[in-house]
Amino acid sequence: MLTSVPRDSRALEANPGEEDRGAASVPAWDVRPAVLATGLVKRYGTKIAVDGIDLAVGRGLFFGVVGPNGAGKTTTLRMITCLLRPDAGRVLVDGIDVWADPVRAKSRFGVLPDDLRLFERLTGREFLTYVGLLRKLPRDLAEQRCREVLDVLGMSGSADDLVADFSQGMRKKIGLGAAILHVPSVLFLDEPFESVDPVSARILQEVLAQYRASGGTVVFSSHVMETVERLCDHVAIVHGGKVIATGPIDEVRAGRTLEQTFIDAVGAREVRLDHLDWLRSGLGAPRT
Amino acid sequence: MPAERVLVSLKLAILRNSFLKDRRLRVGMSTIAFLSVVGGGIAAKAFVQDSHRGPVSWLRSLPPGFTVMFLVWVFGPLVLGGVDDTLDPTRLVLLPLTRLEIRRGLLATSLVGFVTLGSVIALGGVVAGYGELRPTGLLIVLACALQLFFVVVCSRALAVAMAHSSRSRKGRDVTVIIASVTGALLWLGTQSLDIVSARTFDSMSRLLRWTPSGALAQSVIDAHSGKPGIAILRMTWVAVASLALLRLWLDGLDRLLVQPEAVRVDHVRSRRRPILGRLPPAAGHYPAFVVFVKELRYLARAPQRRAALIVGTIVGAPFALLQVLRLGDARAVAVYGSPIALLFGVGASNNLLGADAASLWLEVSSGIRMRALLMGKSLAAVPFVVAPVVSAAVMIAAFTARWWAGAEVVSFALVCWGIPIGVGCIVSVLAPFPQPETSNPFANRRPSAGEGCLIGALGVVSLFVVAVLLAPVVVAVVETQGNAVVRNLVVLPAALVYSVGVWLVSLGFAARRAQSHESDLLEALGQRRATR
Repeated sequence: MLTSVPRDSRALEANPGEEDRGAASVPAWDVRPAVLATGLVKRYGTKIAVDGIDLAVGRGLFFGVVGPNGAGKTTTLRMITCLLRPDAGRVLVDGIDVWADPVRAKSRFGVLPDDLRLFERLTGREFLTYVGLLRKLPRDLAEQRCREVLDVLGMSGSADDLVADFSQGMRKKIGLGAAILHVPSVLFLDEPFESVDPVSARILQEVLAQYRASGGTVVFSSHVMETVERLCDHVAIVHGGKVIATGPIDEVRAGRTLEQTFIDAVGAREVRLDHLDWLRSGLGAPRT
Repeated sequence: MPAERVLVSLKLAILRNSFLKDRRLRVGMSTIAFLSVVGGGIAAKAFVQDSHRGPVSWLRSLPPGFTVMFLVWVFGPLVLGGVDDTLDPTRLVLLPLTRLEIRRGLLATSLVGFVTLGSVIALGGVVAGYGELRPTGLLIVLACALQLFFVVVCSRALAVAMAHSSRSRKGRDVTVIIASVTGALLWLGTQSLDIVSARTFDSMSRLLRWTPSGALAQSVIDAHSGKPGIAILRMTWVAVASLALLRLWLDGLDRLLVQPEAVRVDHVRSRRRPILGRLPPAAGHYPAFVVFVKELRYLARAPQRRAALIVGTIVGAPFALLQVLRLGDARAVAVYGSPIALLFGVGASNNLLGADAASLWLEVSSGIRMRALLMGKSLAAVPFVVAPVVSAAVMIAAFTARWWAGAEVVSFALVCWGIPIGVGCIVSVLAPFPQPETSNPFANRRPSAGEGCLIGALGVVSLFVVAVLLAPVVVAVVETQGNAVVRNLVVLPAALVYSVGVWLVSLGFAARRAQSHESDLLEALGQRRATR
């Protein structure tokens, strides 16, 4: 089942309750979405990276955005989080138009982008503290949360090392710490578990689970189906810059595995293994 | 705490950590700090001393002094390609900061740093020397404050504009050319001071008064000479220019913050056909040829490699020309000094493994012999050592009207390439360092890591070795002067054989060394070092 997305997001923003009354068949989580993107388009020259994506994410959901490489997942998340101006479309986070009022919107969400641009010459502790201060937290509170976040993420021992010296996993963890420091209502994570070791991934997942248990919404992109299947309750499959399926994960996969659903949805092409005959010919075959 | 104060505090923390926590940065930062403070102190002392000497000294010291300060400020963004290594505004995009907060914060942070400190010290000298306890004294203070404001906004506006231009290959190349020409002219200007007459210098100083910084310097002189009206007029037009630049900076900053991917280069993909097109089917039999073609493609696509070639070709020529100016009457001989321009090419040929260094593991694990690898890479580096010499020879030949000598030098550059390239092979293996992976086309080394000194020292030493190895060719040229037949039919072919021989012997040594130190090379050129 494909989820219906209210096309007129302006009306929704003006009077969210109105949508309640008019859409009896729409599931409860979809009525006042934490994130609502309508008609998002992004072009790079002649290439259309995102081709009119509509996305609605209900409050308190763990929402996965999956798709093959180059499908438009990252571009979509960047447009939703004020990192990339869309050519067309509108995005509401917590009812706030992110492109009309980016400062208010940014105070409501946290982001862990794929290309983490951190202040490399700050220590981990300084980085988190300054992020807290720039998010207008009182200094005492910023320092306290910084200590606690570092402790939970298992980074207390390296808190005084430069960010430039951090491993990829540590960078992801400190990035997540910076994203949750101000207790956002929505958290956007782009490939959060990529290049992260299992122990760090477990820590990240536990932090996210706690965040979600407190009512937070998580939107994250990944192409690791197993992770998405395990963590998410709703999912959107993006392919060719469009959402081709979205809804509760059980409905989307309809009794199959998510991986099979995904492959069926994106139409995996037939692999011509006969082109790799040389690989089957064994070590004795000529190498050139 | 207001965002502006947090940002200032953040920049101070970055500067402090650069000193205390990063050994490699410490050298560079200490050098910058020392040069800024000492340079500012020397300038301040000169301003104070000249203030007691009279109008001629004022004219000779203030407009050039203010102009030099301006150039120091704008040259930073030029050579950094618009990338701010300390407080990059694109790192603030995730934070809920208003435009006003970001603007005020970045303006405040741009006043934090060693160059600012040096500028304040120098301007303090102007106030101490020319200031008086009269209303005109206030004008002098205002003129100095306006000079600081002007250079800051000019520098920031240029940095943002260059960050935008780095989006396209053409934009980066234009940036590199502008920066190279500006740098070459600046350098030529500073090096020519001793051969410029006092009268010419005074004329230049008068001319500088029409530039914004020069106008502010002149307004100090006017105020000091009791002409406050003229001083105010000069300051007014500079204030207007500063506000216009401020507007440009802020508008550019807004675009940068809502379209931050603008500074990234990975969205720009070339649709052009690669150099040399497809590899011929037999290429697999000649790994060196495959490496050669790959390196040529890299030369066309990697901003740093292209910038190194452009800079070497543009900056080497005036450097060699300066030697001609210093030689005076010996103009015909001067053309033979063109190979000195090699100094600007050996930086690339001495670091054959540094470009795309992190991918060396791929070549090593493919089982390619180091000899083939270095052969391909060194052949692709020939333009780096030939182009600067050719451009210098052409420029000097044009300047001295000795075209025949220019043609001779070009032909020798084309046959003697093996000598600098051979030396480069050895240096590349003995002292490799990774070029940082960044969109800054000038970043052929990690900023403030002391690698500039290393590159310079290696360049001078290798140039000395090249000069020694070139000596037999030079002797042969001198001995056969006036006998074109012998020179063209004997000396040129012999020089070619000799240079190729030097290259092959050096290549053999370098390859053996690299083969036995593969793991060391991988460590030295690893990804983590390249991204730092």
